[in-house]
Amino acid sequence: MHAAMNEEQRAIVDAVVAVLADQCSPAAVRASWADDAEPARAQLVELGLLALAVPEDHGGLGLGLVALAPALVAAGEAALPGALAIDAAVVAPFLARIGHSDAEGARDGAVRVAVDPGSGLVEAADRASWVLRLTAEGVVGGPVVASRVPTTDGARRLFSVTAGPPHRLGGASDRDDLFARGALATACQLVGLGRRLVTMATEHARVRHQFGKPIGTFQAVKHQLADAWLGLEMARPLTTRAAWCFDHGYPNAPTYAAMAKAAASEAATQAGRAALQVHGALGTSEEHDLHLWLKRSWALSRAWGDAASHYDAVARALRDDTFTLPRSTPHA
Amino acid sequence: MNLDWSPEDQAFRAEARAWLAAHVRPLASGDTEVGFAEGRVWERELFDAGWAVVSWPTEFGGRGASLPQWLIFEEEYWAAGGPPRVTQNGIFLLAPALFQFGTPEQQQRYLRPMARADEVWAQAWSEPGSGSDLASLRTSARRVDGGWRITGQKTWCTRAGWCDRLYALVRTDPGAKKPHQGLTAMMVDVRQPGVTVRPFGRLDGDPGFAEVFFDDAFCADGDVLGEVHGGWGVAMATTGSERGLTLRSPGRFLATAERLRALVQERASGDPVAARTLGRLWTRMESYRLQTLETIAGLSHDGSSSSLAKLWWSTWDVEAHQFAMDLLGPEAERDDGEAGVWARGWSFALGGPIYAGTNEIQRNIVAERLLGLPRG
Repeated sequence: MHAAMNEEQRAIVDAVVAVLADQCSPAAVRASWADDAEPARAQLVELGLLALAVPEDHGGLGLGLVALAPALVAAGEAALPGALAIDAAVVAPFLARIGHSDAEGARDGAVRVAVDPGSGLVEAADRASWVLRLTAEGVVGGPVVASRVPTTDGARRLFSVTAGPPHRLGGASDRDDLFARGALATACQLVGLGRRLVTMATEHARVRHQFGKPIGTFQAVKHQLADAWLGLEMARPLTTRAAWCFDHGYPNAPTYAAMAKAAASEAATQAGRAALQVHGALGTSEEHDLHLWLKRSWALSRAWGDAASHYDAVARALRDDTFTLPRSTPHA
Repeated sequence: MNLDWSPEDQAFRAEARAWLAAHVRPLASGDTEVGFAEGRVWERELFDAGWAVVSWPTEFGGRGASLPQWLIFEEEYWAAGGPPRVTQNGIFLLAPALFQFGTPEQQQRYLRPMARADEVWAQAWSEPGSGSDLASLRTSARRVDGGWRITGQKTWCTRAGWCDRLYALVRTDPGAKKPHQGLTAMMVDVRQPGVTVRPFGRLDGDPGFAEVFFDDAFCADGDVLGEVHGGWGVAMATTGSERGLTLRSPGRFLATAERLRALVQERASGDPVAARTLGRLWTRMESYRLQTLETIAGLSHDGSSSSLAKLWWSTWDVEAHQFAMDLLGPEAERDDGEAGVWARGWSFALGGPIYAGTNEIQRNIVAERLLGLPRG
């Protein structure tokens, strides 16, 4: 076993963080509520984010989900609006794998394909040429017939999509694979969102004085932030493991993705509660930036399967023996 | 980070699994006199076959295995039903300190006998008046010719009733500006007139605890570990390892989770609430496994990550046993059979949030050292 993120991964994450710092400030996130902009998207596409997890022999960078995952955590920290994470983790690799005519466009950003995870609520559908739908039968492609749905998080551009004449692109196992990848991509963002929520609360607790001292000196404040941080730190290794399994074609990939999404949903929810509580009334005001992260975490904790449904999936895998137990796998 | 096991790692696992399958047998609890004696015999068997301290250098009885391989061994050990290690206070707590702070003479003198259970160690740090506030401890040592004479009282000394030597933390400089600056770590022979040990019972029913009374007990200069008055640094270095890694390896909880899975299948198959609870507990166990692997692989360089680990496994163990007790229903109060194993495990798990640094202290550490919140 080798230690540490490798040079390549580090470089990618650093580059993504730099773009986000420059193009996706809290002000940009806030502005996107009104102007429907997609801050940082063009620059991140130019960095190659969409091609990251596409294998080299399919024209991609071939660095895998293991490289994409930390970049998506960074995207979560910045509350990056838009479906770029799904485009990179689900759409581009899938279209490349099945040799779709839009594979190249999905990789270089020229073509946009929205994804319906099965809920009928599709992000950024109005910007897409067509919709990839995960259905009971499998994976189908269909035209975009969509109407905008108002959402609590104004940066989440959701559309209710009606089914048009479907074009079959894959079966049930493809659907399960894509759903698991989408869940993993969302889990990564949740880890990032949670981290930013805790660091915002920590910073507030350092500077906010009451009773003659920073409120961060009080154990009640310390302990809930410590517990929130703990949950996030323990969710993140599951995202790495799931990514590794996908990249290597290991059969445990979807179960680890379920674990990652469940743990990240739970951890980000806890982080949001703690962060809000520590901010006090300030956190309940729309003028403060906290609500931008809070609302995104609420949305993503339930998109692509909530914690309960994913814990159920883990239990099914244990019951049905579709999950190879740790001591019997070739990987750690 | 490469998460695949190498062929050597997989061969190591197979070898450990085979040896354990052929040798593990049920023993009485190591926190009883009979079980402790059986535990010594067991530890000798492990040692003679090279399994007692796999990651140690061979000169001290190890086989130079990597830390990931040590994790593999632990997974196999607990899965095979291996008994809790009566040598654990020595090999998991004192030994890292000896490797880091011990002189070559001390390492030669103590490590092999420790690993072979020729000498079994107990920890003598906490006192009736000093638990979380360990630095306030009052057991003192006065300077004499060739060493120190110790007077005072220690408590919560697990298995000290049958041990050979004590890893003690004592006050050597009462005038130190800050209490923690006046402490020294000492390795003390239990079998001397000035040491009295009184075992007492623990929640799980075993006489696993003990008080230790020092009355002018002797410790030679050569048995001081680290610098005189430098004991706090020695202790804090080892509590990092105690909390985070060696005290409770993920293998232990993997084995518990596997038993829970069987219990659910046996008692609550088809129950969706039980299924979801199992799914959640399994997930949280995997979090700890993977976090440990990353820590070992050097991805986490922060000593405070051991506080995260301790918070996580101790909470997990309580939740897991709570779940088991719920599944057992009315049988949960039995002390025999499978129910008895879970019930004793529940009592023991309740100590987890308390020992090795209470979870309240751990949260303070996470908040202050990892998040940067002010001490106040």
